[in-house]
Amino acid sequence: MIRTVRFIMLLAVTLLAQVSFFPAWLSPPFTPNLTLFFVVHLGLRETFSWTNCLAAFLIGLLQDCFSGCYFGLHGFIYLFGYLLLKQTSERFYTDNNLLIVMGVFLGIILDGVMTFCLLLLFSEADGIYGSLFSGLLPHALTSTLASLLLVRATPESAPGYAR
Amino acid sequence: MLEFLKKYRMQLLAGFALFAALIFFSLNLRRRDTTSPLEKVVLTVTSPVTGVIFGVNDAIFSVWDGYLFLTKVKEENGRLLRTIKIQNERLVRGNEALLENERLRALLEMKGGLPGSWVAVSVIAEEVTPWFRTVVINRGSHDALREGLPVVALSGIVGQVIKVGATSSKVLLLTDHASAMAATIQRSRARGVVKGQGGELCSLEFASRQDDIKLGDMVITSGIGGVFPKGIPIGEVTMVKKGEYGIFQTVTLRPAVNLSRLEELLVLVTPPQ
Repeated sequence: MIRTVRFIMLLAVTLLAQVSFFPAWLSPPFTPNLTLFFVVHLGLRETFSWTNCLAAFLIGLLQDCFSGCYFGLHGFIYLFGYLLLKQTSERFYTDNNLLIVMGVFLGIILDGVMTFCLLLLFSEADGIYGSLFSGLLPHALTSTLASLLLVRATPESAPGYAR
Repeated sequence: MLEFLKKYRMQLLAGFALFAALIFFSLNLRRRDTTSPLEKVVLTVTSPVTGVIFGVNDAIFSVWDGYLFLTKVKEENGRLLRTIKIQNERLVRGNEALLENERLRALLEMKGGLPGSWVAVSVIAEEVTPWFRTVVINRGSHDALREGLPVVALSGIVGQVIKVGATSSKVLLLTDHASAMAATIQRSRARGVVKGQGGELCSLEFASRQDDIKLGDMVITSGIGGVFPKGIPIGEVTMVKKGEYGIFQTVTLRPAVNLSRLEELLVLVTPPQ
């Protein structure tokens, strides 16, 4: 229970910092996406449960509240990312912190590619693809750097932390 | 069959969850211009905190400009620095107040000159992803804001309100790919539709090859569609390209407003009669 409350508190603080602190100091595409870190953490460090599934979806919806005009876009992408991680996590040594950092990097790339695919299928936002792919790599690198700092600062990410 | 269902129960459920999330997303695409209850709650709950964090950022910027710059002088002369520091802090605060006063006064004059009823708002949160262009403002449905209202700054159009919470709202900037508005070239009265390009620029679509458009031309709102009042500056033409074939010409424009540094804005609540 205490872990869940701490997880939610940390998520709230990170989300607020992401939308109101970092944009004042960093310009796009160098603003980091920190919410994905929590989905990767759920996917790699926590056991599979439908509650965690719902949590990944809700984190995506929270991201959508502050980003773009397509509500549900990140909800779907984060849920997909979580399920993908759960399918593959048993093959990895998930206690390694660098795996979370790498997961965030690949997650941002997946986020960009899936945004491209979903908008191509469902939306009429022509031309978004140029700015999406040109900003993807710097966005992924900044997010990776931020997650490297976050993974060292959070006890939940410590190797062998109770699941 | 039952054996199959039992064996692949988890995979089927996961697939169903993904499918449900996709349906949720596609259903929300139809209601892109309305605010969902979750968005309302999140925008309302977070607006006081994000407002405070933005204030802290401003304070840090002020300290950075006014205080840290002078730390080298302190090494040379401590006593003199203390005096300078105090004076400088006052000066920075005074200048900041003066600039804010000028901005607000100009905004007030603009508000008085514009038709209809306007609400002054401040930006409290900005976009995270590099491929969308939105900001969050500190007013919502409590101040009569609703989806679709136009947002302007001192020098021109900023965008349109797309999501409304009780005390905060989300604004789609005119440089976002999903943004489009009817526009007119001020000099030649040629018409087109200004669409966002995702970066710092916009494009003027559907301007025919015969239209007289030149570099430096001011693009203003045409008033067609009834969302944006007529005659508000959108931007300045920075590139005109006519290919050998085709009906239209390619026109790029730079927004009149610096969208990366938005602070105080106006939202048109009641359109002009």
